[in-house]
Amino acid sequence: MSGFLIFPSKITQWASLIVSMLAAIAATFLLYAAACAFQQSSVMFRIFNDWHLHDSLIYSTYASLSLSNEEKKSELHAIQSTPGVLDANVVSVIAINLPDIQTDFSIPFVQYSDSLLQDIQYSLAEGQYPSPDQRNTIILPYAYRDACEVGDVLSGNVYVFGALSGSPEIPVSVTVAGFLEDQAILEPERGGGYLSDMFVDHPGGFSNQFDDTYGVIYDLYDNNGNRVESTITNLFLIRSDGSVPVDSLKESLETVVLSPTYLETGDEMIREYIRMNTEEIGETLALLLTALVLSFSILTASTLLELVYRQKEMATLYLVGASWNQCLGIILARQILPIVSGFLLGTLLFSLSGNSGLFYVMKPSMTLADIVLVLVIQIAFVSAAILPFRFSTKFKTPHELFRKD
Amino acid sequence: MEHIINCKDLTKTYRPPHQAPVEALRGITLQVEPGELIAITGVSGSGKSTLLHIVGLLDNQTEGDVTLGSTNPAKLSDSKRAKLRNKEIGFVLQDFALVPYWSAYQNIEVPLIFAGKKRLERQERIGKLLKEFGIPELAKRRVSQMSGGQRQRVAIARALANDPPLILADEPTGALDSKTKEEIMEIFRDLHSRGKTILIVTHDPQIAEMADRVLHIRDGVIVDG
Repeated sequence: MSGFLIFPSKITQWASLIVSMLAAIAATFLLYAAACAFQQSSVMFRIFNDWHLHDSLIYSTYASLSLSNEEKKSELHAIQSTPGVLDANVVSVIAINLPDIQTDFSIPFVQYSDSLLQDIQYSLAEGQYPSPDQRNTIILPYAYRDACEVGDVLSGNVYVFGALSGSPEIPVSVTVAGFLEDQAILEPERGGGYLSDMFVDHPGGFSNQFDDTYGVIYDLYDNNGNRVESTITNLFLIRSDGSVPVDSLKESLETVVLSPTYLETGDEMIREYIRMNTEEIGETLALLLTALVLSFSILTASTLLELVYRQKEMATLYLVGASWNQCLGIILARQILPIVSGFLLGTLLFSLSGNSGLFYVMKPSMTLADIVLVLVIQIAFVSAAILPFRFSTKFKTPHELFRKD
Repeated sequence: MEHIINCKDLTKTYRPPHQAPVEALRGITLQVEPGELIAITGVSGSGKSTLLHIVGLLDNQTEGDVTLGSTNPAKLSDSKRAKLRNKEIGFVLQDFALVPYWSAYQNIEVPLIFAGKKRLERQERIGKLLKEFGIPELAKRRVSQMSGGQRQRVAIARALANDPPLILADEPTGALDSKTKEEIMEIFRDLHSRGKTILIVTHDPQIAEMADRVLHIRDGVIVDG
């Protein structure tokens, strides 16, 4: 195929090509923003689903009660003994000072031996989960991925909550088994209440880049071979065995726990979450709809304009021996150039916008799935503009452009 | 001898939305021998151009049969009809149907590209055609910068690019002054003498005079010829 059939022959056509490219950049950017907003606004719902929290109850003892580890264990035992409870876990935490990678504060680790947490496998950015018999292995938060490497052995000492200054330290050494992905991580110390408070990295876009996020640890032994006791937090995760409805189980548990007003079913939490975030969810849906409508309009309009503008050219090509498909192919070959380059530039711009401060609420990010999704949507939109022309010969033939009467 | 064009009981009805159907052709039967020059005359809206478009495979008849040589185009796919149009038919239209922002060379090159001719072959053929029609200096000039006569020469050169046996012309001199009209008529006479079959839709009695046969169409029916 000769170049003049595809490439513009005059300045106005180059201008139209540039306009199409700018339109494609705008459409790409909008679609990424929409995909990103959707991903981030729906993260809570997906986590809730993935972790089967619909069948669970979440409870946290009123913090001002200042219960000891023994009292918390006793409360846990009472919960576990309630008919209808499959299992109940108190999320426990061990904080370790690791001066090799963090000099300012200790890093908290969720103790992974809790059976419920074994169901909740956080994704890893690097490395792999150790087996439960591997002592003193840690998975570090995402924020530390550049501070050390998988396999490194780090020395430090256990931070003991509430210990008086000058108390003897508990020296430990741990091996780095991996790094968590930048994702929502259960934040045990904040307890229940609002769903988003249970997690670090919620739809507000606050990232795990913050240093005070949690790692994961199995059993920890100090340098003298003594098992280190973890600190039990206030967060209880209670699983129903399904023998009684969750709402009835809640009523039973309210007579057992010390702070019944802090006991919620998973569904109650999600309803509360929706109520609390109605505005944000509404804005996200509005953004999603606006982005789809705008990008559809931009892409179809620029493609349709090109087709309408070059209709006479298409008819001429048809006259001298091109099939209707060839005519469309020639017109679209020119349109592909700005759309592909617009898509690539839009992708680049969106990925760069993460550091620009352009987004206050949303954290711009894209996965391969987002890139494919945006590309597929753009192809669909451009196809939507082509289809009427593809089938136009069914009701209007190209020769009509040459009719004199 | 096999007819180059054979139309039998050809009808064409346009059905514009929200309007009454228009019968453009009402049972046209026509045979054209190879090498004939036929003028089709008639008032505006009589169906002349419709007949030309159907014979030229740009449009489909509502009823009846058209065969070009031994080929029945109604049974062909759009791409095979396009190939047939490309190799067997050349069009010359009143408004030239050229792409104004392309050069004369590029406009003539297009049918050769669709015919799958190699670059050198195309170059040679275009050079020959430009010389034949006395416009070699226009090769690189854009059509939009040419006079009506020059445009029509380019259009005729394009129509002959693949050396088709059949030339269909719709008012080829309609937009030209009398001197240029004479020159274009001379080209058609020459093509006729070289054995091309030519169908010319025209209002012009001078063109009708040079034809072997004149068909007069009224209200979609051949009334004379």
